[in-house]
Order: sequence, then structure tokens, then C-alpha cells
Amino acid sequence: MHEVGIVKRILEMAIEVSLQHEGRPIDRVCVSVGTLRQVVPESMRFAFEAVSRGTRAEGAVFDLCEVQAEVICANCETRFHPDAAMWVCPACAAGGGRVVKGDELILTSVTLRCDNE
Amino acid sequence: MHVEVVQKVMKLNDEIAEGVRARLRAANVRAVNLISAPGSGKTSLIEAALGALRGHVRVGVLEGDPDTTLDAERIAKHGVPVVQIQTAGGCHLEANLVSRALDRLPLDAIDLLIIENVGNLVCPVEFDIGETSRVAIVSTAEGHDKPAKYPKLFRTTDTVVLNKIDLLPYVDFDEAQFNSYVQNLNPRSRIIRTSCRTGEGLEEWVSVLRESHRAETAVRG
Repeated sequence: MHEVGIVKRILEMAIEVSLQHEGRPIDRVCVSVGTLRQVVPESMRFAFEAVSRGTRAEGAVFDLCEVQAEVICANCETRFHPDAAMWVCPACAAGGGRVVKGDELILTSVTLRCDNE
Repeated sequence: MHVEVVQKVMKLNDEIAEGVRARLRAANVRAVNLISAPGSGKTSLIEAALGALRGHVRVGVLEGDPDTTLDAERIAKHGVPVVQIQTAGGCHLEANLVSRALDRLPLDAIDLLIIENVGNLVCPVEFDIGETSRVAIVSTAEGHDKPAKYPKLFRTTDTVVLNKIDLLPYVDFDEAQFNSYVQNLNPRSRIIRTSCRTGEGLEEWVSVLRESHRAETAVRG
């Protein structure tokens, strides 16, 4: 449900970029979303289509790149991809770990339409 | 034309949250953000604490709900300043809502601000609202697998309250499994067992609020 608010903010940020470049129409918006973020990619895509209607981003491609979670074991510093409810280091079986990847929620790039394209 | 941006989507919210934090720090107020599912007993836990804190810590309360002022009315009966934030269906509090609500609180007459977030284990976790510390509350009737299903909340708080422990004989709640999920997600977590009906654990709950009044603990950036 909070995806709508987050996507609205992404749209605002993309429009700011467009306004910095003569207000060119937006063709593509690229975002990186970590798998540890509690957002649903499909809801974000749907929300983008809805909130971009009637704006300079209407019809733009919403390019969502998922970033796989990666954790460093606090005990032996092995890096691993947690995929279950319990995080267990595959090397030393210690529980938990420090997140190095997977918490991203970033607008990475915006593609604007040029007259000669 | 391709424009690289690389900007955090939450940047604006995080900046407003920092503003809230600075304002609270300047007024010497600590803020505790209570996050749980609907019906876990957040308001009852606040009510239980208000009596015990009276005369020791000056408390203010922010109540977040999609609709009604029912919770604020419950809190107001205890004679503490309270502001109801109605999110108009919104599923979480954001920093700008808290920032505006602060204007309606007498910050110089408060030492501790208790913020009751909207009942929801997902969305509130994603938004920094300028709190000093975060508390997760789970009631036994919700089931022991909540930390596993909603891990982020439990990764971003050091204090977990297990409420309604008086119901343990009647529900299939595997407490050892619950504890191990919580510890796995955050080894620093402290679990406090409470019941607002029997009063069990409420002293410890109050002491957590008193501690949060004294010491600032780290909150996720």
C-alpha cells in the first residue's frame, strides 16, 4: 500500500530531472530496489502507470531492478545471500549477519526524449 | 537522453525526519516509535505506562490512525498532551505528518514523546519519522512466526514487547521459536513479556520507556 506514496515520490524526482532539461518528456525511469525492502515490485509498476497518467512521464517504461540481499556473517565474515526467514551462515552456521546489499531504494537514472530521436 | 541520478527515494522523508530529530533534541525530548499490527495492544500499553510515569517523566503522545480520534480520546483521559494524526486511510506515519503534529504539542512541557504508529508491520518500518528509538510489539494471538514474516521491523529495533502473555495457555504460540526468530534477526534484541490484564511485565515496559527517556539509541538511517 505504501508503494503508491513511494512511486509518487519517484515520479516527482523524475519530473525534477526533466525540468532541469527543458522539460523533455520522460521515456524511462530506472530504479533499484533491494529485496530486503518491504515493497512489492509489481505494485510499484502498477502504481507508476497510475500516478504517471497525465504527466510528462505518461507511457514511460518503469524499469525496476531488484538487488539481491547480501549479508556478512558477524562471526566469520563470509558473505552470503539469505533466502529464508532464519539467516544462517553457510560457512560457520552462525545466525544473523550485517546487511551489505538489499536495502536499496534508489532512483538510478531517467531517460528523456530528445527532438532528434 | 540518459541522465544518471542515483538518488535515494527516501531522501526527502529522511531529511524531514532529521529536522524532527533536531527539533526534539533542542527541546530535550526523546521520541519512541511504537510499531505493531493492529490490535496488539499499543494503546493499552501506553495507558498502562502513563500512570507509572506520572510525576517522573512528562509524557506527550502522538496517535497515528487511518481514521477516528478514539485512541487520542483514550489517552486524553490520562491528562497528558496528545495529538491524533489521521492519515486518511494511509497505512503508516511519515516524517512530514509528525513534523506538523509537533507544532500542536507543548514540547517544552514534555520529556518523552510516545508515537503510536498506524497498526501495520510493513509500511511504518520503511519510514524514519525522527524517532530516538523504535519498539516492536507483538501479541501472542498473532502467532510466533511474525518476526520471520516481517523481518525488517525486528532488524531495526532493539526492543521487542511480547504482549498478551496471559493468553499463552489458549493460543498455539511457540515462544522459544519466536525468541529464536527475534535473536536471529537482531542478536541485541531484548524481549519484554507483558500483559496489560494481569500487569505482568509492565514494570519492565515502563523502565524501557524511562531508559529511552535518558539514553539515545541508534535508529536506522
